[in-house]
Amino acid sequence: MCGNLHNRGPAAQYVKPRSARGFGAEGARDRERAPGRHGRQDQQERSGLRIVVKPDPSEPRRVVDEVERFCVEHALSQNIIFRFQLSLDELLTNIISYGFEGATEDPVITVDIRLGDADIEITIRDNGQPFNPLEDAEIPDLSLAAEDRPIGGLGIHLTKSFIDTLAYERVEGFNCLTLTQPLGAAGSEESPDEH
Amino acid sequence: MRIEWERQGDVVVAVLSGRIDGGNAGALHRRLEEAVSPRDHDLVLNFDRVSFISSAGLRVNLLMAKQFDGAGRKFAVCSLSGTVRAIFKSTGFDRVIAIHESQADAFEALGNG
Repeated sequence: MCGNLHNRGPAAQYVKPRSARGFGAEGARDRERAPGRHGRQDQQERSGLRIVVKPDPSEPRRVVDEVERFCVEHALSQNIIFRFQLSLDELLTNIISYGFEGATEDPVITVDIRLGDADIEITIRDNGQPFNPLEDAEIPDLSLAAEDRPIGGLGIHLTKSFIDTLAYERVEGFNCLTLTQPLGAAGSEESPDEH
Repeated sequence: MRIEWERQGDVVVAVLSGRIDGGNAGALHRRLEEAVSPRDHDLVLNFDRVSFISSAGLRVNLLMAKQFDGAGRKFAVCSLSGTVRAIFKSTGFDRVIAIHESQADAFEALGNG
């Protein structure tokens, strides 16, 4: 998951050459599926994308747009797109706003998309303060009336509500959070609050 | 973000368009505060053309609800899409903020139907 930390490239570098670029004149859309299904080297991945993120408040929106474009190019459902839009906006906004308070190293943030045959995985890495959103985030009290509610703490809750599988590791100074969503039967949008 | 304003009696409706996320929620909050005062008006946010709202956008709703409730005024939202409704529901905001199916319903509920 978090193994290729030293393989960082420039912004929006494609991890696999066969992945769809969508901009060029090469008809990239047609290329990724066939090699993914037949004669593939790896078991899972049929396409991928790496996005390098600057520590700037305008970046979550750009990343969300890039991820949406990737998903549309690969004919993924609006349901999946919505879940990743929401969670990436929440997680990246958190990292950019708070992750580097008091940090001495230059911020490095990357978002990697890996599209497999059965699911899509997005890994967010950052070298900010250690923060495991699955354990360190406060759990909001959703029963409070409006006037008693604190102004905050909902982003991680939303991410947990709308993403099926979340996994966190701290590896070589990087927070690595992987979000996984099945491609087929995504859960119902209308019943996200059982978590 | 585009905002179109409509008014009926004391009720002001802000018809929002696009996404409300960490990048523009602060600006939305400022624009609402500049345009509408709970001294004079009730406020309805119309989400008909909003595709997506993040927790930063929910915070704006919470701040406005506190402000208008505190002044004895009403704050409500209307015309939520499926995804926006799911986000309100997941955070329990559907229990603390009045949600109406349509702008007409909102006007009616706020006493100006």
